[in-house]
Amino acid sequence: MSTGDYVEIGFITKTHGLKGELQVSFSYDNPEKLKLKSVYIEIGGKMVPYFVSQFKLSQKQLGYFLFEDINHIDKAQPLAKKKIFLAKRLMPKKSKEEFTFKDLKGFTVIDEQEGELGEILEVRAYPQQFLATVMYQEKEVLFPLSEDLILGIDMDNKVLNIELPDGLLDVYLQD
Amino acid sequence: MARSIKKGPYIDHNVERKVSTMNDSGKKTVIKTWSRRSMISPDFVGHTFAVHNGNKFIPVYVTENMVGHKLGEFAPTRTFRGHSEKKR
Repeated sequence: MSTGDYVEIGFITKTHGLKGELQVSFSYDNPEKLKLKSVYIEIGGKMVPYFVSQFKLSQKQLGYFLFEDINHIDKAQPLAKKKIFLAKRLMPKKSKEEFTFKDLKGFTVIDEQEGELGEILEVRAYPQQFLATVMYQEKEVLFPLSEDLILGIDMDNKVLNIELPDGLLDVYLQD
Repeated sequence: MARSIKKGPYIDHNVERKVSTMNDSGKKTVIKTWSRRSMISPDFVGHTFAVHNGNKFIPVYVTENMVGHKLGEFAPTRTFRGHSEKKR
């Protein structure tokens, strides 16, 4: 599997107790909906699978993992502060109500005037608005994700139709 | 100390002129500006500004909630990337 096949769900904050338990802070909004039979931890640039033998959720975004073959704090210690991933195929599908602007990452952007701009590489939360990043003509282009500008979202084909404000592309292409 | 009410809000002349011209003509193009200190007036709603953050231009699509704030508030100049890992 390539790196695009994994989704980051949180990171290991620290070890817990002496039996190799690990505390995980979830960046995913609803960790109780995740199927956590096996997770991946990025070690040295590679995704290493770990099988979950025990998992409990203590708070909304905080949980405790016990992995197979990790039964002592010394074995758990190197995993602290590492990011934790889940295979993309195991991620729960979101309903239309749960869909947020952050989920638009990976969607293809089609502007009403300019046509296809590229794939959304990142969606960042800025004060009062979300901004999406695409690479267009080898330049980084930012555009606001506002309901006034979005014409439609095709969830099945992962396409975002948008009407960009006039002159926005020129701001980035001129530099 | 707050700005005197007598003076009214500060809005850069060029920004104000461009917005009023566009409102008259009904056109809406992106306004590139370095004037982060300009206050957002109700006339700005629906316009998009490219506000410079010292490094690049951040597009700001003005909504009603932004009125009374300054343009610079919506184009942060710093990015927090977390603290470095503790070395052992």
